[in-house]
Amino acid sequence: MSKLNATDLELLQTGQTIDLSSTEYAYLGGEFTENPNDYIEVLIYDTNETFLESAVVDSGDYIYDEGEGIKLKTGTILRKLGYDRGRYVVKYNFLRKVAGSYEYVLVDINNERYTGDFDPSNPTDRAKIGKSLFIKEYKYLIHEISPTRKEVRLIPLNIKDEKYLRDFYNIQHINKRVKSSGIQGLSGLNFKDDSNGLGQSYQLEVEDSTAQFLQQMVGGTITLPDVFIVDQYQRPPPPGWISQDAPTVETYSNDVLEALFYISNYDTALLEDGSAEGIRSPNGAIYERFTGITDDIIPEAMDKSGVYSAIGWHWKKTPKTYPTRRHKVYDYYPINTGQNFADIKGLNRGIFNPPAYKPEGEIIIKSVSRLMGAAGSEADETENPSINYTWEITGWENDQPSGINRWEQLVAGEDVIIHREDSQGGEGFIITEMNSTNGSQIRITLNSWDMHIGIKLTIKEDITTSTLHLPCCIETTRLD
Amino acid sequence: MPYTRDELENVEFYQEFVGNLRNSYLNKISNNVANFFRDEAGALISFEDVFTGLGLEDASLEESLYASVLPVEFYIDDLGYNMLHTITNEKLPKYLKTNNLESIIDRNITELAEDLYADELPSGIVNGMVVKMETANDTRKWRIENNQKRLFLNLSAFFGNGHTRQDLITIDKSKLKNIPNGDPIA
Repeated sequence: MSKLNATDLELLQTGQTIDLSSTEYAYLGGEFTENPNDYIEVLIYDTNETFLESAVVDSGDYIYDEGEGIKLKTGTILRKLGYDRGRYVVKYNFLRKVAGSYEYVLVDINNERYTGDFDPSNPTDRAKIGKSLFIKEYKYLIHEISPTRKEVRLIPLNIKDEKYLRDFYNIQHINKRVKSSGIQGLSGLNFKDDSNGLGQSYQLEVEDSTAQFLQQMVGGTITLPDVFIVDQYQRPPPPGWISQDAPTVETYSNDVLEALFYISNYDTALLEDGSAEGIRSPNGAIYERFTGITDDIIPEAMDKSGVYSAIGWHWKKTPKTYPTRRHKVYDYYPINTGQNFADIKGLNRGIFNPPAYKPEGEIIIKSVSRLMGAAGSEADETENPSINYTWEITGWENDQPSGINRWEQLVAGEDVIIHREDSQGGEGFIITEMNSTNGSQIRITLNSWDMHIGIKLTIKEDITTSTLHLPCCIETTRLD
Repeated sequence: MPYTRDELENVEFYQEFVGNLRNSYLNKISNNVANFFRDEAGALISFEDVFTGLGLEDASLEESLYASVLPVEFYIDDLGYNMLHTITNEKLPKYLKTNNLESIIDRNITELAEDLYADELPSGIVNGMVVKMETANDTRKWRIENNQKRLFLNLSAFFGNGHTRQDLITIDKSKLKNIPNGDPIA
């Protein structure tokens, strides 16, 4: 039963059929009825082919017989739907769910999908419906139908469920990317130590990951990039780059206490874009632009290029076209004199090249503001003066990291997880470390996509105080 | 007083009446074996199981009263079982997936399309450039046009539009990713 018209069907037919059980077509999900997403829809018409009703066939009312095909209990199917006598035209659609379903799901008051116990026959459970639990169709909504009714735009319902949203994203793509959870430069894939020995093994296994080799991947190709290194070249330095050999401690001989910091775990943070060098003194582009401003107010004399108070995608309507068409554009608004650092939503990548990390990796930010002993000796800490360190995390989180930007204040413990050491105190986004003679560092995990966070460090030794606030100096990558 | 159901179990004329109806029904079933439970047009003739109210295909045909009226052949090699079902062994047809597909069926989204374009191209990239990514195993090529990147669908499209390999400029993946997609070039 094809939806194509006869002419198109004739032109498109190859005369061949697809063997779903073959390796060539394994990516389609295997033979019908062997895939858990398969179901059969029955369409009932009267003898004049007037449509009466459609329903999903109970899985017990059909079986797949390898030699003969699918056997359907048409008599039982009709009777279960109340058609116990008469003549009917019955048509079947053999379908495989790729996103959404004809079924319903429960969500809580936050629209998070509820997957706990629920017994529909239990009155206590039923009483939760409409109060703490709500029934929602596991479908996608038709948002708009084109004037000629040939095109529709679908949008997901407000159901917070990874699979529901991920499926919606995947149906728009020809290729689906499956990533192992390898962290810190590891792939998360290992050769299996089989009877051939590790060096000769042809078997790969996924470690500690939700990504698995699936039946649909049979017949696919695994590519291992960069297996052989044939040459190396030095990538040109990014804006604001300074040498890795730049000093990471202030010496006493400078006689000036200055708050400075840098990202110390170059090797383990999940850097996806940009460079952490822009944060570092003395030549980092971010450092250079914001150093010396201690009250967080944008001064008149400051170069404001590339510092934005609003940034991101938004909709614009194209004038003078009919029908009016909307398009998405990337836009930004520069910061103005008198505005606060808190108003800064982002920094221009071409100018500042801020580091953008993959969420959920750990980032260590280390203070280099450390007065050494009179001899400048790191070894003799007893001679080092004690310093009070106060760190603060500032910035914004984009609540729609794959769509139109919606900037929201960061939430401590959710967007940013702060791992305080025993010697550290403070609440929320404040981390304090008092009377340290051995410097200070903070460990944070950035949990959300598309965050633009700032780091503010205030150090105090006796009566001397120094503050460095670099707004939006660290980013997390966007979801799209 | 009318009879109750239990009383009717012992009323001879009623049992005879019901028995005749049942025999007549069983005979109808039996008579349809020869035509495989299909009418002249090939449509399925479905009988109800008198015990469950579902289709006869759900009945226990070997052990119940049906066994007395169904011929021996009915039980050979699932013959009878199959004739009570709708059976399909149609395979999924393989359709043309070449460029002709796009010519035959208009699959482009036009009415609800939303054009995306950058207000500003990343540094070092200008409109008119023909670019590829620095990834060696990715052979895709794009033309930067109207602040969008337009994918060449195949090599013919690339060369057919007057480009050569010398025109290609390799750029960083992250820069390319930030340029919205335009219509592909066929």
